[in-house]
Amino acid sequence: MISVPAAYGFSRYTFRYKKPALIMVVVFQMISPVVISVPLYRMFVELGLLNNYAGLVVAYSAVVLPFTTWFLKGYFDTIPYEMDEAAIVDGASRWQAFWRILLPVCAPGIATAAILVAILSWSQFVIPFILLDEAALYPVSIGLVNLQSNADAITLPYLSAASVVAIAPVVGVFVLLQRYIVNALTRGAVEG
Amino acid sequence: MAGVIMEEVTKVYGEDVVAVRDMNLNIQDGEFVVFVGPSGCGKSTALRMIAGLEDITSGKVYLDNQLVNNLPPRDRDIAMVFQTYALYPHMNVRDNLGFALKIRKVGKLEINRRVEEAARLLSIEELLDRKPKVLSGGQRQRVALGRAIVREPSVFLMDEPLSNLDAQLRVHMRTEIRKLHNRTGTTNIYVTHDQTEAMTMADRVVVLKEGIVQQVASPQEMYERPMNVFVAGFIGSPAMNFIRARLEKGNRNLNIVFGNTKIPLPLERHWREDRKRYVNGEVMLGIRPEHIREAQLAENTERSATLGVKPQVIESMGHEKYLYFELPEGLTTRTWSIEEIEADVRRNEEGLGEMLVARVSPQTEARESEEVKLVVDAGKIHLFDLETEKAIF
Repeated sequence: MISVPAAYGFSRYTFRYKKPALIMVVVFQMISPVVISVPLYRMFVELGLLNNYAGLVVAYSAVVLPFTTWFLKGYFDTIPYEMDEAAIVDGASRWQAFWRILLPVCAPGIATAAILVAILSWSQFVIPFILLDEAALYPVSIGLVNLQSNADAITLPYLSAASVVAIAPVVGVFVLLQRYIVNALTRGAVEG
Repeated sequence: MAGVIMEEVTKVYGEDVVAVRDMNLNIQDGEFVVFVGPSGCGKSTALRMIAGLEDITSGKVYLDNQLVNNLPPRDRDIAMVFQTYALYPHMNVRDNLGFALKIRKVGKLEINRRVEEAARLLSIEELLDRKPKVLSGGQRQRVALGRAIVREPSVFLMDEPLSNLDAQLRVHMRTEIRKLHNRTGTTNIYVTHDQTEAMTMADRVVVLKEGIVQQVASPQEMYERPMNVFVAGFIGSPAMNFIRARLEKGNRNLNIVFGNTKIPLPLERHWREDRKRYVNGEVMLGIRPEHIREAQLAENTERSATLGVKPQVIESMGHEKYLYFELPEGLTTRTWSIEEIEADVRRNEEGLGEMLVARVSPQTEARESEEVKLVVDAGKIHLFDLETEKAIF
């Protein structure tokens, strides 16, 4: 809802400070959640978003937004601008050209971005670790760490098995969809 | 159907990149006009300004006598065919053709009628349920044309629609587009860098160079009476030969002299400039390859001059041959390839012995490096001012 229109804007429009804005998008990706963990915690305390999934969703979205915007911007760039122009000459408004033409064409890219974001979020540790206190809300990444630190001396085989169970969905998704993911990631390189 | 008028239309990018400069053009209703010129000459920019895809820096554009400068493309009653076709890949051919009508909320029955009619006109009925990615280049081209036809616009705009097709298909589609125009009678503005397309398809040709209109004329007039060196060299294949020559006064007439060759000027030809300015001075002589014939196979009249040359290269085209030859050292000659024109290579004033081209019969007995007598048809020569490069004769 945010990345797709943002990527469309970066790809299709020329505006002031576009280049610095794009650079900032890339720079923000380089900021590790560890670096922002303390201010993040304090801000979410003020907002009353600790210990609930809503807060987690907001935090995850903010963290992946630069990546998805940058990725989808590259995908939009591979679609010839003439397609927008053809739609506009055909009578579509900007919004109609985006919604009825660009978005369906970009569907594979959006799906790939969603898959990559799901994988990133699945493996996210720092953010849920600082924003959640209740064990019932912990995602699998924190559950694994807690398993390790459990006083009942969990042995290595149990830990290994738990790790495999934790990464199985991610590996499964990647194995099943790797062709589409690689196509989407490399599309800009081939057609750019 | 509508006419298109451009008044002093100018397009400037940034602060100083002038893509189109003071373009004035009056396209009549139902006319097929071709904008032609080398890459970067402003022809596509001019077309896009008519379409409304580019803002007009200054000047006015009228469609059907209505000022359209600030009108968005959707309100201009135009349809456009793009170089890359720009078909919607997620829709089948039927939906591609009907998209514009659906957007404008035309009824389903009417959409189906127009789509079927366009498909029949272009012989693509069997493709209606297919997606663009399974179509060949020629089929995609037809679908792109069909998408424009269903709109029943006042003006068709075509931006190099054939440039992605192979040579054979291009020839076929040229005639198809022209037939379509004859059938619909819709005003058509066509952009191409291929002078053959321009000459074969247009009612009138507009030659552009560096954003400036060089000449607007029918293909035949442009071929016979080019207004300057650029147009003369751009139209016609192989390009016109240019020779630096002197205009001298003879006993009863004027002669063009280069080396040992003297060509009498036909007096009945119309001079565009005061001829007196050029007598005993230097001019640029232009002569098309097809007007240099082999002496033994050509009619030798007093309106011709004979050249003895040794062809360095002979190219056989099947129906004719091209002889490439040099004139004696000391004479500046030039022919430009389209690539050189596109690269805007300046004429090399010091170039000596540049090769000229003659188109001769396939039955010629001329051999490379063996002397052959060629005849220049004096009635077909062109003269240009050396400085301004404008035609003077």
